[in-house]
Amino acid sequence: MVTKTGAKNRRAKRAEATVEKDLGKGLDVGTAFIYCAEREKGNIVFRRQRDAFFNIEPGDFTKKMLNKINVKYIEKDGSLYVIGDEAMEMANIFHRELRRPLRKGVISPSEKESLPMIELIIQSVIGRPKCKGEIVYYSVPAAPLDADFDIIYHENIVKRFLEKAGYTPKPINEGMGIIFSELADEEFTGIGISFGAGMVNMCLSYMSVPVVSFSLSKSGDWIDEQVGIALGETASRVCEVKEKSLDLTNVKTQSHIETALAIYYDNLINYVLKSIKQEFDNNPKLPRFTKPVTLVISGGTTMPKGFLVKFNKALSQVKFPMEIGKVKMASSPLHAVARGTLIAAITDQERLEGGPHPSV
Amino acid sequence: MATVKDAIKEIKLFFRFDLGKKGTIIQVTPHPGEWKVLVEATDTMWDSTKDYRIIHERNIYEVDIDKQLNIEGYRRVGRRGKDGEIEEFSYARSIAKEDRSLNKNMVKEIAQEIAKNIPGGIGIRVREKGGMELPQTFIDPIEETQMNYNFDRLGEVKKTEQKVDKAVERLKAFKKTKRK
Ligand SMILES: Nc1ncnc2c1ncn2[C@@H]1O[C@H](COP(=O)(O)OP(=O)(O)OP(=O)(O)O)[C@@H](O)[C@H]1O
Ligand SMILES: [Mg+2]
Repeated sequence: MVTKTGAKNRRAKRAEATVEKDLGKGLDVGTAFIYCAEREKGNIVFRRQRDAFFNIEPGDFTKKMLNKINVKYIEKDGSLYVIGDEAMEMANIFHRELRRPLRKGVISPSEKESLPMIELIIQSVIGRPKCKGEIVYYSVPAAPLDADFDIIYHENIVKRFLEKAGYTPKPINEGMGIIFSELADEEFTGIGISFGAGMVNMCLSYMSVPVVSFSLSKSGDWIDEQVGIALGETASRVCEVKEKSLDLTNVKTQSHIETALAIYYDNLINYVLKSIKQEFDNNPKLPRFTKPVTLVISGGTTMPKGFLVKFNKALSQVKFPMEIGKVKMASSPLHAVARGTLIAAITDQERLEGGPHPSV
Repeated sequence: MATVKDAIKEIKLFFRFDLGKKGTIIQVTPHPGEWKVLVEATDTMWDSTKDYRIIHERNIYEVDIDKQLNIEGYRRVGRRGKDGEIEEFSYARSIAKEDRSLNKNMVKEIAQEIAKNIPGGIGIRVREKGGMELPQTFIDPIEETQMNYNFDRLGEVKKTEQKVDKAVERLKAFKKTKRK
């Protein structure tokens, strides 16, 4: 017999189960890194994996060695691929370029043969769903302004990977991810800019609705390539220096690679600001903002010391059609997009369950 | 008074922001009080008969824009065939004639409806490599490849005690008001 208290109990139990399970995940499939964000016992856990391969001679001895030093590999069609950070280190030791399946923020249709590996990597970062059809929001770049390529392919292929793994995938604009992560206190109104590896993604949001968004196909990779060309270095080597030691406040005393990096950083920032201004100026649908708009920057390319100072200096030279208020760095520039996608996923998941939500 | 140049600019914006695609102007014909503009744009759709496949179709639209730069109507009138020739839909133009009374709002509504059905959303651009080659994207079923690997879960782990509950609650509130 079904009693009222019985129903109540069940509801309470269900609510409990929901809290325990912490449903909903966020995934940021970037050009250089794949990030996953999820909740575990009330904490947020991020996972970050470099999506790069380096092809080495296969052999049992090699595999044993790799196992011993805990280097991750995939063996496919008689080839051995070291993956992740170690792939980059090896590429630099051998003075060769890394294999990067994603270019300019998207999986390229010409990388078909590495698709199974990308799928495996994505699955291993996100793990198994906590329940069948768990919602996962994954970031997709906005349409590029300065290049013609297909983001639909990328969007759909990631969707398929996630469906196969048992999730309910939902795409979200990368810039919106930053807004969700960083601008809850400003009613999700503001500008989010992600300086990633393959692209810069920008989104202007008004009350949680994206109004303008686009991407540009120059960012960290472009800097690495340009500096590499200028100095006759491989891009991987430049990248390693950039990530390990670049300090933009103090390049004069550093190596020629760092000096060159700083020049390209300036160039990139100006290019991005100029493009944003142009898009804003030409957009007849720009909302009228009554308050100054907050701008958040994020992404791996903003990591070097001194980036924000450089950015602010360049920003003071440009006049946007709206007043820019605070300019801030995301609380964790590497994880902001993933965090935003997690927020979107939890929101959906809890709305779906309709039930009570965990304590605030 | 608006010039042809203004009209072209306006139509490009209309395509970009209302229809969510890039329009290339291929012909402008002046008419009393308005221009008729032929625009080529790439539409993307799923082939529902075969899974995994996206079709890109280059369609020709005819747009009426008056001298105040109001878009009065717009319709698909043809398609770029594989041979590069434009195939005109003969029925389209005759309907178009009766269509004239379409008011602006309706056009907008229809446009937005169409934009909604384009996977990928606003602002898609599809590469136009030289010639008339139609880019087609096939998403093959990933063949079950034999792979050996020495890991289970991947990724450098970072735990934070930072909460997301507040952001979630606020976002929920926005979604609620939007639904009404
Ligand atoms: N400490 C660091 N200093 C300088 N650059 C860094 C640092 N850490 C990461 N990067 C650079 O940031 C980029 C990766 O950033 P991020 O992880 O945000 O990009 P992504 O999401 O993979 O790429 P995209 O968003 O373009 O698809 C790379 O170019 C990387 O070299
Ligand atoms: Mg990114």
